[in-house]
Amino acid sequence: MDVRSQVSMLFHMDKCIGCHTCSIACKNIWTDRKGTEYMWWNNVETKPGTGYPTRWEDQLNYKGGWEVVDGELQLKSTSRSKIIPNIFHNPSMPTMDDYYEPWTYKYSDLFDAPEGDDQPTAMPISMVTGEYIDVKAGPNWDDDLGGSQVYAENDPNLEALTPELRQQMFEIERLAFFYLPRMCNHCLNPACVAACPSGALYKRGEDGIVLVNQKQCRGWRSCVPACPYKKVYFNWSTGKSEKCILCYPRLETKQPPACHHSCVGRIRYLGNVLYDASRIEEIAGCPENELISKQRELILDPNDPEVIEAAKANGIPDDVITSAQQSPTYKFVMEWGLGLPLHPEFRTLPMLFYVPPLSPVLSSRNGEATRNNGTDLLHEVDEARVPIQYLAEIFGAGNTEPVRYALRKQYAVRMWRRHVTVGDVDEATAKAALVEADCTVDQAEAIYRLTSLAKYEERFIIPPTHREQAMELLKDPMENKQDTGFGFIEPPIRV
Amino acid sequence: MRLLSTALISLLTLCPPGFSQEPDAEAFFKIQCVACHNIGSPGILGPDLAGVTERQTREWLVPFMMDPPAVLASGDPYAQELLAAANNVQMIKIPGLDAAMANALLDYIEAQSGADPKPAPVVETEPFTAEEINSGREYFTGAKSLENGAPACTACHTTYDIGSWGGGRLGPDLTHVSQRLQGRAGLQAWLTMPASAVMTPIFSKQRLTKSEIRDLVAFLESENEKSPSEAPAVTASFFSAGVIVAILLLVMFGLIWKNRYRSTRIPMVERAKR
Repeated sequence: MDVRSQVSMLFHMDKCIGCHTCSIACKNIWTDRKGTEYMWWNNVETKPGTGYPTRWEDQLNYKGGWEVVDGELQLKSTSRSKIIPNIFHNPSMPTMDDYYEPWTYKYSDLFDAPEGDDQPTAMPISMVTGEYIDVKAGPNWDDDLGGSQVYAENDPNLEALTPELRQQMFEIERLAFFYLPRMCNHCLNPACVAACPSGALYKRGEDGIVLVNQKQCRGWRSCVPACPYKKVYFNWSTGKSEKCILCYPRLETKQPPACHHSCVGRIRYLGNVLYDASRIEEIAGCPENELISKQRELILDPNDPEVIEAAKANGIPDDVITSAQQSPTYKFVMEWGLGLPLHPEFRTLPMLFYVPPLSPVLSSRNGEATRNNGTDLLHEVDEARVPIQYLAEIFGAGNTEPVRYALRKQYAVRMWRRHVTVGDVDEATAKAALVEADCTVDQAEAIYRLTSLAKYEERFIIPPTHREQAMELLKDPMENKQDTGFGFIEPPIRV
Repeated sequence: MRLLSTALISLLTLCPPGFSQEPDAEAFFKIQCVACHNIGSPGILGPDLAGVTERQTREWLVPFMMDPPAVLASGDPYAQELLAAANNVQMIKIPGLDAAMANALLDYIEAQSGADPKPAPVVETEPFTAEEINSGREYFTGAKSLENGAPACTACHTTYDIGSWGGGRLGPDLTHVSQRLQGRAGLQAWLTMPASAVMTPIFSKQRLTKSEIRDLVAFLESENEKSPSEAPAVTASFFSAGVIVAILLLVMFGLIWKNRYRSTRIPMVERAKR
């Protein structure tokens, strides 16, 4: 057992209102420099929709992530034999148009325009060329266009649905959509790290944050196609790749990342988990329908004495283990089975988990009254406006079981709380629902608490980073012991 | 710094003689002049130089030696006379021949004029064999390397019949060089010591051997005889071949990377519009 600690995130999708505050917070801190105009390390997508970059989930196009070939795990985009012939032009590189051409407006026209009969307007200007542009796409074009016939209909996840279900999703008055906030998943089996020919990408030992060493990056851009989530970006100004750094300077000072901190819906949770690094290859290569359960096997119980012992043997500090024991991510994913990875079929073992969103059950309008078509909420997971097959495509590698489990448990908790606070559901029905959803009263209360009431300190259990220990690996603290107490650029010379 | 200037000074003192001393006329004569001229008997192309200072004044000789084409172009009657005597083969401007060297050369010629006349160089007249012509072609094209390491002729020159790609275009076309240099004698003289600004520095160090000269003369003579015109310009075919190869390469790249990623959004929007 090779126990390591990983900072892991959980997004509670049922609470996301799609306000993009997270994206803006990130943009203002990290990507408002030259060359990063088009980058959104954090973005929020409207589903169904094609996302950013367009149809990023379609790996037939972008060749991101891993595949199992003859029982062996391989990158889709590159390999030892493919990297040399393709090194100057990677054949699966997204174009700028697939992200979007960044633009601003010529605001000065509003002030400088001469007096006239018409209001002055600020024309859009490309942030790449500086010329006037006709805006054709944006970072959340799905939402800007209100789920258009073009963008929503071309969601790659819809391909798994029957034509009837597809049609039903877009029917007037039954239309449903939800938001999908996305950022780097800081995967356990990162494809970007594996693809880098210069060894510039690495996974930080103490907390598993995936970073690009800007000094070592040579701009080959192999990481860009390799990442199935398209979360490594090429900075055209510096000629190097950049990605989400999980605000590690903030984490090191016990603050949550900016996107987490600024989230108005409080959908984001962060805490570390302990995992067994020796099983990564085995689990990333397991059959598709086992990916979710196997990934959960990889995450270890931080209260298990055996795990604690192995963690200590591996040099994990005590307070990091304590922090793992309180981790909200561990509770959502491991204890309650609510957190699911995004597109586990890409086999990168993402460490950002999502609680799948509930959606209204189908209802019909009859005269003045709106009536639910069903009577039993719990059993109508399959009747929800967002088809469960669609959610399973996103969160379950096509496997509906884990998604159904998470949705049912959420419904059951709602019924239980409805019984407690409103009282129109009797106790027997609520408890029966809990039992059926594999939940106890205590667990329901805990889920309710962490979902609805959790304060800052409960949502973000940030493990101490212990940079001083990391530094000791690179530098001997005794190096200057009994040496000169000053640093000298030119050593003093005794004349 | 001190070390550097010491090195510089010692380098200057080690400079080759001729920089500050008397020009070495004898060595110069033996390299640059003997191909055409001789003292005491007629040269291969040029006149016997014995007593040349008696036939003309130094005031006339020195400018002529320094730049023969200029004097010829000025229409000088004596120069025209010389040209006619040399079967209309112009003397070329010799690189490195300045006024001091010209005077030194004339001194050397004067000193040698009294000596025993040397035998005139022999110009072979026996016909060339087919093997010699063929061997000359191989030397020309570089199929066979020259013994002393000189570059093959084709690097700078072309002739009518050395394959479709032709030779280099830096030097003149050599198809009719044999005619221009008045046959075997001129060719042999030139190849013994090519006297041009470009060729001298190369061929004075890497001389052609007697048999190489003979083969090359054979080849160039045969070229002159059988070729109706100058070599065809191959620039156009080079260009079109370049275009064809570039197209083939692009087609090959297109096939190898046939499944490369192109674009997602634009085709998606176009499809939806239809």
